[in-house]
Amino acid sequence: MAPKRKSNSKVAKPAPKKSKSDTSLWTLDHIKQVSQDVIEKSSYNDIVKLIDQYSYIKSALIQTEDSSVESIGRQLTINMYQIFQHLFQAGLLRPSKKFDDKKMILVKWLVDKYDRFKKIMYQFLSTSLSFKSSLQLDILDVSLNVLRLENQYLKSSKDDLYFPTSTYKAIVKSLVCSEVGTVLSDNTIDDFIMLEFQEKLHKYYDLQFYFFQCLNELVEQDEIPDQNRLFSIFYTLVKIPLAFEENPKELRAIKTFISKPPTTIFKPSHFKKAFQTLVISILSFKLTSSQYKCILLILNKRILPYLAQPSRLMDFLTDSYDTSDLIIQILALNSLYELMKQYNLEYPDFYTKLYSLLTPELLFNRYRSRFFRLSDLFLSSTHLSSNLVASFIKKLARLSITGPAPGVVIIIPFIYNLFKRHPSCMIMIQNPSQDPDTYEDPYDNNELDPLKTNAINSSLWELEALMNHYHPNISTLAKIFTEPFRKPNYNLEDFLDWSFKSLIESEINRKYRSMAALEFDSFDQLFDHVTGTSEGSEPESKTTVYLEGWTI
Amino acid sequence: MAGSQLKKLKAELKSKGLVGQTNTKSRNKRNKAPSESRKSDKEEILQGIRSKFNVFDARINRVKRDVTIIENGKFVKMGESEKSNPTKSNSFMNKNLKIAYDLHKSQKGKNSRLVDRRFGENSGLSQEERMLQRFVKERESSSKRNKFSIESDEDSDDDDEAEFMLSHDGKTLAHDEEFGMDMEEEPTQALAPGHRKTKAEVMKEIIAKSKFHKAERQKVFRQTQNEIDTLDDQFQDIFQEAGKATKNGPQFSDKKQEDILYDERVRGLVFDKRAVPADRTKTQEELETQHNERLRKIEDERAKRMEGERDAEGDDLDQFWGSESDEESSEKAEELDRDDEDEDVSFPLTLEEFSDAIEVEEDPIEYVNKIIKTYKPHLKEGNKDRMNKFVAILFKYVTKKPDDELIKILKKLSESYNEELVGFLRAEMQEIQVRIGAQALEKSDLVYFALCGLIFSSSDKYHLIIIPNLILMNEILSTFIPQDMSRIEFKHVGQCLFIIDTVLQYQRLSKRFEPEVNNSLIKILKACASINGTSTESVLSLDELFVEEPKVSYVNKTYELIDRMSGLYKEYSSLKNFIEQLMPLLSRFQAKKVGNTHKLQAVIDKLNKLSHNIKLTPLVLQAHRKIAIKTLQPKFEENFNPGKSYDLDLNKQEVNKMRAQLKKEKKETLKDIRKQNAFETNERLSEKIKMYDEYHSKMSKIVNSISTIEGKEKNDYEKEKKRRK
Repeated sequence: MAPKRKSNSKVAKPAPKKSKSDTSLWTLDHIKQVSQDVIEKSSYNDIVKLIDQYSYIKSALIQTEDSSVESIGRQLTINMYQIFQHLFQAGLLRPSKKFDDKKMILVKWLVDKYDRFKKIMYQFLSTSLSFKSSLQLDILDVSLNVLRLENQYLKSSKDDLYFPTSTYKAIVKSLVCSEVGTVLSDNTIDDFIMLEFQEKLHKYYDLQFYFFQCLNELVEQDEIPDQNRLFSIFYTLVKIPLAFEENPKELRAIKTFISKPPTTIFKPSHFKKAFQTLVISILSFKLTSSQYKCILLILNKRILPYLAQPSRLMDFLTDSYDTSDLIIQILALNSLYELMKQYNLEYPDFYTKLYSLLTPELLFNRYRSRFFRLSDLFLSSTHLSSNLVASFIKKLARLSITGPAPGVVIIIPFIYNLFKRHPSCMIMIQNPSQDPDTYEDPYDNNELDPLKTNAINSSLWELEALMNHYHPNISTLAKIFTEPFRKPNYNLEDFLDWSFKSLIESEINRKYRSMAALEFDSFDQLFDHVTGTSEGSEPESKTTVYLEGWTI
Repeated sequence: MAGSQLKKLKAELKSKGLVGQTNTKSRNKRNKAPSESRKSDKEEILQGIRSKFNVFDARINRVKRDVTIIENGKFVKMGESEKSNPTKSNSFMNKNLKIAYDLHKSQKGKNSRLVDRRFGENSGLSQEERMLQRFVKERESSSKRNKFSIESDEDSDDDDEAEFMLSHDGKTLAHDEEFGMDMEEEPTQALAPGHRKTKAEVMKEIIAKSKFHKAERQKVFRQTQNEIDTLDDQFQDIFQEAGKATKNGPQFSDKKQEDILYDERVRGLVFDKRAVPADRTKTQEELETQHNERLRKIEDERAKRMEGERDAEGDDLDQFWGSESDEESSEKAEELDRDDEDEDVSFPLTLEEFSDAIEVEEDPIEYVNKIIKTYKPHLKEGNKDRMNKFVAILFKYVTKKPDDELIKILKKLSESYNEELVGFLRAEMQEIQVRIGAQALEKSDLVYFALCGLIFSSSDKYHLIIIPNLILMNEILSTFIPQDMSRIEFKHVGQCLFIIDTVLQYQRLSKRFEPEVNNSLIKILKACASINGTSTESVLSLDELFVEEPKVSYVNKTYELIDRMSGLYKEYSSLKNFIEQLMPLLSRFQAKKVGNTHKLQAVIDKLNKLSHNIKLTPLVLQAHRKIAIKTLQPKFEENFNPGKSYDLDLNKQEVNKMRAQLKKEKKETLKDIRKQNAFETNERLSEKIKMYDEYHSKMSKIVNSISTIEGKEKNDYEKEKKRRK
């Protein structure tokens, strides 16, 4: 009762020094003084003035980078936190039936100020200042600490397990709808506050759990204006493994922010459900093609394991697999395979579809290594019909004669491994039984069904061409097909990740042993002369030109 | 036998007649008591009793099976009689240890040993290394001496003498004294009679013997030396006699000045070049055959390189490039140097300097030649580096402003400065690759590729410049034309056309397969589908390739390239696939009548013909001898014992055996050392205790005696006092 009376008296008599400093930013000491007064002398009216200080700080920081203002803001935030902590301890922020009317009025007033303080903090978090201010990070810290305060003092009974969801939701909303940072070209976000927050999410399971739940609610209530931003926040968060364990016991062992959060969050299914709702709502956004690729890229490892029913992505994946974009198809293949393997997804005509992916563009594709890694797996069964395997071999060989060198490098050992696994296909490189005079190539390049291409009766003349490839190493590699198949198999990983860059690198780093041989054919000219063009085809007194038909 | 151990012992002793009544006459005379005469038996009997009662002292090594062994010439059951006697052996060992300890103690501080200070003796070198080092040292010292002395043989002997300084004339001088001292210090050694010779003694003997022999040799040598000396003395007399005889005229020469001159000339003539028959002037035919021969040789070399034989070098090329002209130029250069020593062509350090200078010059070729002549590497130090730089600058300049004369010079230079040029070109390639990544090629890059093809032998299978260049060009081909035809850029199409032409030119002899070229030709045809118009123009300037403008001449160029490509790859059966892909595209152009329709018709006809000619025959790549299936027969070990090693490697077996032995012995030695240490500590302790006891008893004796004396005095005093009272 004592503090209450005191405070009333203070409300009645405002301190003289306050009026003087009302108009502008207070000094550090002054803020300290005032907040100490609030705690010690219960001069609660000053809270309003302290809160008002935020608007000055904010406007100052929006304009320029000012470390002194920043430090004032920091001090102010800490003091405000201390004040409210004090008030919580005194029980003045929670209406109780035990209070009389006057006290109820005071409590209501204080609660109102407390809410205002929180609101201002959240606004601060979502404002883009003129620089990356550490003040905002401090405010984030304090606003998260407020969660602890509320958890401690606002629960209905001592043993109650409680999480201040509504406050947390306000934080999440302020961060998701913030104007800080931009979405980068790789679909991640460079919002430093968000990144700091995500670090905490990865650390504390309860924050993470409620984050997804709050996001779900926000999406449901349609309170997020910028879907792009939401996507990139989600993507940045999910790119790193989440703090989650399948086993409830281990799940409990993960750190939590609040010492005793409600036990329901430790049911893995609850987390998965929340996560799945969010994933499905995000996937139902209108995604750009790069977002689409990004999400497919991480789907398999970072999203599928956290879903309650991964099979719900089935339609999404099969649709992606059926698009005309080769990259998306390849990326979808990974997750699709995961679904087939783990969740028994039935995909009819899988190999036909896989065969249709073998287009000339495949070898130019950035994700070709991904594709070949998987295809190696798909074709590893020795129970596949040799018609089918032969079709793949023939098609790949076809691709190799139009493909770039780094792609060709993959195909040769790939075919070798297929031959090793399916020796019945060896007839494609060794077929003395046919009569060469009457022989016609039976392979149908346009046939979509790999079982009907008749590739098994064809021969791999393409490999013959590769034996004369301009890259000496590739041509040597291709010559393995003329030698006995002694090697059990090639380790495909050694061949998957070559690029033109690495090819040249290895060439350039070759040691200079002997002289680079010189041309002995001599040409009189490198290019045609400009004047020579007008005379055209006239035989010009035996001058030899290296590149005819080009002038400088 | 019942009763306690003590009772049993007493009974036993009594039965043996060692205790109790000894003079009782037993009824049974067989059991004799030890009489005075058989006193020595007493110990034996006692020992027997002891061992009988001390059951823990005997250890029997029991074995599972009955094995009979021979011990002391008898058949014995193994283990039964192999009783070890720990007490006995312990006491024996203790006795030995005690003796050793006492000996050590008695000799401590009284014993010394020979420290071998000879080279390498205590330096941890192995025997062989030591000998080698010693030999080297010896050699070094002796060679030092040899420098100044004529009599090297003798000196080496002296050397040894100086080293030891112990003897002279075979007698040991310092020897006696030194070893005398040793003997004083080693009384135990010297006093031991019939003692086995110690190492030191053996060494002494050896040294003494060698000294003796050496002294003998020296004696002989000295005798001969003396004889020589006497002869020398006499020679002086003979010489004087002889001198008298030849005093009349000049001793050696009585020639005139002219004769001497004449002789000198004659001798000088030896160094003159002798006349040789001149090479016959060759006829035109002969020259031609020679030239052809040379060409053929070079062509062979090239073919070898094309096949990928790495050792085939272009060594003969330098001859081909006209050895005459090279020599001429060098001669000329020398002349020039002599003539125009003051005329100095400033050396261009950067490309800018060079291009500025060459722009000003009237005759750029002359200017470049002048630089080359002035800064020939053999003329001045540092010219080599300059020329290395200059080649790079010239190359760079030529890519910017191609000039056929300069290219010829460059080609010549690229032979002598090959390595540096390769280094420069590699750096250039990396820059180009960056530009390829940014899809922003420069004109000079295009010239660069063409120039490299002109300078270097592009048909090689392995080439430091050609192969990376090909990779670069193919990277351009596979990245510049996108899959998506809507994003096509026509300047890229033009650049690709140029690159294709260059690549085909590179491959004109080797005809290596270029998938990217084929693919990009198809893509270019697709990209050019939007171009209309008829024109026979097919000559393109490089500048046009950097302007975004679809041209009919691109189409014409494509026709030409398809023509060349199909001609080049007609050996490949997979060309048929290309023709299949190209035909519909070309016929579309034919229908639209785009570009040079005559050319197009010719190309189509050629392709049709080629396609018809290519006969696909089933491959027989695996036509090698059938490989036998490897069969393996496991080696079966009868009566396999897992504990036993079945390692066939004898060496390994030996090593393992050795290792086990080493381990065992190490353990044993450690045990011994521990035991010895424990014993010594015990011994020392007991000695100390004894010493203290002695001290205390001595002190107490003294104190006692003092107190008795004092007591006596006191008594005396008391008595006296009493008496006086």
